Amino acid sequence: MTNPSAHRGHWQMLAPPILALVMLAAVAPGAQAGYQATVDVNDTAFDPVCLGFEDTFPEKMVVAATAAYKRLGYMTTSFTGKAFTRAHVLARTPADWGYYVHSHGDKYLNSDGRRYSGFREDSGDCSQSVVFSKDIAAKRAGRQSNLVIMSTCHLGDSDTTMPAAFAIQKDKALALEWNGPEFYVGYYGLAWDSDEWIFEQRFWDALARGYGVGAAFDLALSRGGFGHAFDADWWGSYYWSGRAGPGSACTKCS
Amino acid sequence: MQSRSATPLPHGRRLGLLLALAGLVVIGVSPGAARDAFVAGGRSTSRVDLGEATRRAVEARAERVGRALGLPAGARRETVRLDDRFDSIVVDEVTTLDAAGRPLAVQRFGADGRLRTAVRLGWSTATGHLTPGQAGSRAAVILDTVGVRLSDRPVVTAQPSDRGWLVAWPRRIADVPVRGDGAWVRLWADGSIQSVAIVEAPLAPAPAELLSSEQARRRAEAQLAGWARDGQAIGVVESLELAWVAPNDVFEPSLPDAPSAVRRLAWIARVTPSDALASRMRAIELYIDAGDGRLLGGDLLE
Repeated sequence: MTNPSAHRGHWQMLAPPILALVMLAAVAPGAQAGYQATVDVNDTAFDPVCLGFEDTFPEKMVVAATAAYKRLGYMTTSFTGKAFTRAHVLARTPADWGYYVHSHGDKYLNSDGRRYSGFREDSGDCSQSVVFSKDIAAKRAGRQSNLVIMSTCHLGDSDTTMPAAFAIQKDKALALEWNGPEFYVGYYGLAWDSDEWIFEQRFWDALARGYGVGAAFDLALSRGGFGHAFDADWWGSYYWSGRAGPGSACTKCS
Repeated sequence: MQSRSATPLPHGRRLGLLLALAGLVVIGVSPGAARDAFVAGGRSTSRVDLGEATRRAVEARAERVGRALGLPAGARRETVRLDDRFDSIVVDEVTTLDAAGRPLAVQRFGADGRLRTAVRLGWSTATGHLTPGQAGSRAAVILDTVGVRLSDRPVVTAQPSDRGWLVAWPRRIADVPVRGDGAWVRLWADGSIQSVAIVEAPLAPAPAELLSSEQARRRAEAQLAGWARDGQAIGVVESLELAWVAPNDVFEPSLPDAPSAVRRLAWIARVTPSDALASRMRAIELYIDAGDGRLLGGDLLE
């Protein structure tokens, strides 16, 4: 694995047009062939070109999420800048078992006159289209997914339509239930970046230590230290390792 | 969300003295304060050797605390000492497991033996009709059973994700909040415990002379003006709040990827983005050092 900090530094030296094309493509040693994960991070919206100053959260999050999915055995590829577009998301999603996105999220008005959960692409510029849950649902057509993390505002709200797009039932399966190897995480309401970052780092670390997805979620949320009101929700199977594939073992999941 | 208006400090010098005294009491600097910086993509925790005698003492403490909190007894425990470089703390973590090896509860204790976190893992479908006042009282009783007594009135919030109640006692020093510090109790809807968390980071010495809120506002406005491109304003400083904050790398990539272990006294300038930026950013916070006016970091609401 490359040194993430060196990678960040390299990014910051690149000119924005080149930066926009950077893709952190990597296949982890031991990744399970066929279990693809995509990490999409909207960076341009939070760069000087759109904002006036550099926001470092997206760069940290893409590195952390990519490393985490690789540790879980996914064939993980990361996209940002011009590489993270609505068309790219919809082209890749049918083959995604794992999906992580950090961007704006909300219930956006669709051209059909209804509101759906969605998030904004990066596209390498400051005018960013919405990727709607209904678009993802249409492309995936009910295909199973594994670990889906929505690092955005609002996509953990009780009325979110995003889990269903990834064929994850909005149900909490515990000891006596099993919804299969699937787990969806989203944040409730408005979530500040620093709180998302704290939550995610704790979640990734707990998974890496062998805790299952449900326990990792509880450990990430329950340790306090958030700077603002922060809440997250999950749906799927509490007792599952998070590892790629239709079924896998976990040392602390049973 | 906090959105206090900037108001002149009524007793600025007196508050400054109080804060200076408070800041001199650097609370429990973590033994790992000089550890390698956390780097995004890496693991935030690593195991540290824990001697057998210490392990037995930690497990005895966990059994006592777990019983007091009503956590499941389980079939066995696993105990490890962790150097948590992200949260800048060394903790002893005790996981209670059932006979099948499934974790039921996790407790974390600081190097000083004090409880930091206790989590009952899982989900509860229990229902209840607690009032906020009852939830607050219930949480205070829970903390009392583990020796944590807080006199302030808690902030009680119904958890929208149907998790019940979050009861919080934000930490304050001389009436100035310490952002991210405090005690939290999460309750299920029926009042049973989900988790307890206590965070108390060390504080840097407070500056001898405090910037006024107006000086801090001007410093924040100068920073925003410096960032503005092509004459396009970043936003307007809507409010200022004095608080202890964890400096971070939000605006400075060369700094470590984890928030600082030591809280510093700062003015938090809450910025409402200009119309041009409003579609990309909902709010911005700048941490302005309350002593020398340096930018210590901040936060963003995308």
